[in-house]
Amino acid sequence: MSTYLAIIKRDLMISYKEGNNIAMGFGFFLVIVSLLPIGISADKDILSKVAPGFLWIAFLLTTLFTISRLFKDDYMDGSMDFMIMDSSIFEIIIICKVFAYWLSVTLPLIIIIPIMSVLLNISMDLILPIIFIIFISSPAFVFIAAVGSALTLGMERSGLLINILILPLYIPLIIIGISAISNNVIGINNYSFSVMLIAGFSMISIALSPFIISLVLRSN
Amino acid sequence: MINLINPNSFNRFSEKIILAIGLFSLLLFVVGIYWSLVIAPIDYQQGEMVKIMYIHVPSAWMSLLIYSFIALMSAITIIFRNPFAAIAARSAAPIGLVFTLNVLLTGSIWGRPMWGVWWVWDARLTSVMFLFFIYLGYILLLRTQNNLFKSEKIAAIYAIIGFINIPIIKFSVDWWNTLHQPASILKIDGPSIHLSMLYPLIIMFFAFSTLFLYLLLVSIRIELIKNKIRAINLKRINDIDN
Repeated sequence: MSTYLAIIKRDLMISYKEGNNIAMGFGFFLVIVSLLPIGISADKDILSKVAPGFLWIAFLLTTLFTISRLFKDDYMDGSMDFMIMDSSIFEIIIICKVFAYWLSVTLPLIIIIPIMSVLLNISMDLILPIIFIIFISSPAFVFIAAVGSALTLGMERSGLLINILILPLYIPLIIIGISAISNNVIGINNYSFSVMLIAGFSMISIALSPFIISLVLRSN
Repeated sequence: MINLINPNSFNRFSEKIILAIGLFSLLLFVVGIYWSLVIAPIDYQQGEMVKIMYIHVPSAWMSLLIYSFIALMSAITIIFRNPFAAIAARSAAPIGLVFTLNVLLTGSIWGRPMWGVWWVWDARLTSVMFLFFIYLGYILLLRTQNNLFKSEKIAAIYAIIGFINIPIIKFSVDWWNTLHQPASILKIDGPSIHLSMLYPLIIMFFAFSTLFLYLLLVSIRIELIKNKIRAINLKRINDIDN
C-alpha cells in the first residue's frame, strides 16, 4: 500500500516541481478554445451551439498531447524496470501513475471549464451538465490515452502518432457525450441514460487498460 | 499436412499455388465484371449507377475481413509467440488500407448522384473512415519503431484493441437510423436483393478475396526475403567483428 501512495506522491511532486506539464496543458487548452470564436464565428448564437462540442474536443486534444510523456521519463532513467520487478502489483502501480496524472493535469482543466463556458456564451443551466459529463468521462479519456502513451513509448516523436492511434478509439465516447449535451440544448432529455453509458465506459477502461498497458510496457 | 509456419516449406508451397490463385482471380474478375456490367439488370431507381455496387460492396466486406484477419493473426502472435503470424498480419495491412480507401472513394462517387453530396457524416461512413485511420495507425506504428521484433508485438496489441471498431461498423446501420441503407445480404431472414444482382455480387466478392489471397502470398514472400537479407547482413557484420 505504501508503495502505491509513494508513487502517487512522487509523480505529483515531480509534476509540481517541473510545473511544465500543468502549465503546458493549461496553455494549450486556453489557446485552442480561444481559437474557436476567431476561427468559426464570434456570433453569440453560433458560439453557444458549437462551444460544448468544441470544449470537449479541446479537452481531448490536451489530454493526448500532455500524456505522451507519462511513462517516458521512468522508461528512460530505468525506474520502470524496478517498478516491473518490484513485489507490488505492476498494474496497480500503473493505475497510481495515471491517477496522479489525472490529479495534476486533468482536474485543473475541469476546474477552468466553467470560466471558458461563460466566455463562450454557453447558457448557465448547461454548464453543470457539461462539467459533469466531462468529469465522469475523464477517467476513460485518461486511461485510453495512457494506452497510447505506452504504445508509442520507444519512439522519438510520438506526439503526432498517439493522436492517430487513439482518437479513433474515442469515437463511441464522443458520440454519446456530444449527443447528451446537444440533446440538452434542443430539449430532449435522455441525459441520465447517457451518463450511465459514459460511466460504464469509464469503468471498463479503468478495469482493462492497466492490463493492456502492463503487457505493452513489459514487452518494451 | 504441410507445415506452413516454417518459412522454407511455406516458400516451396506458395511457389506452386501462387500462379494458380492469380489466374483464378483474373478469371473470376473477367466473369464477374462482364456479368455485373453487361448482363445484370439496371436498377429502376438508380439506373446504371447501381453498378458501382459490384465494386463498392465487395471492397467493404474485404476491408472488414482483412482487419479481422489482422486481429486474429495478432492474437496468435501474442498468445503463441508465433513469428509467422506477425509477418502475415504485417503483410495484410497495406492491402486492407487500399481496400478501405476503395470503399470510401467508390461510396463517395456513388453518393454524389444518389444523395446529392459527396460525403455525409452518418454512422456508417464515419465508422469506415475511422477504420481507415486505424489501419493507418497500425501501419505507422509498425514503421516508426526501429526495433522490428518489439514493434511487431506492440502493433499486435494495437490491432486487437482496434478490433472493437469492426462490430461498430457492421451494426452501425442497424443501431442508428442513417442515410446509408441497412444490411441487405447478411440478414437473418435471407437477403433482400434480387438473385440476378446477388450472383454477380458474390462472384465479385470471390474475385476480390482471391485477389487478396494472391497479394497476401506475394507480400509474405517479400517479407520473408527481407528477413533473410536482414539475417545475412547481421551475419556479415558479426563476421567482420570477429
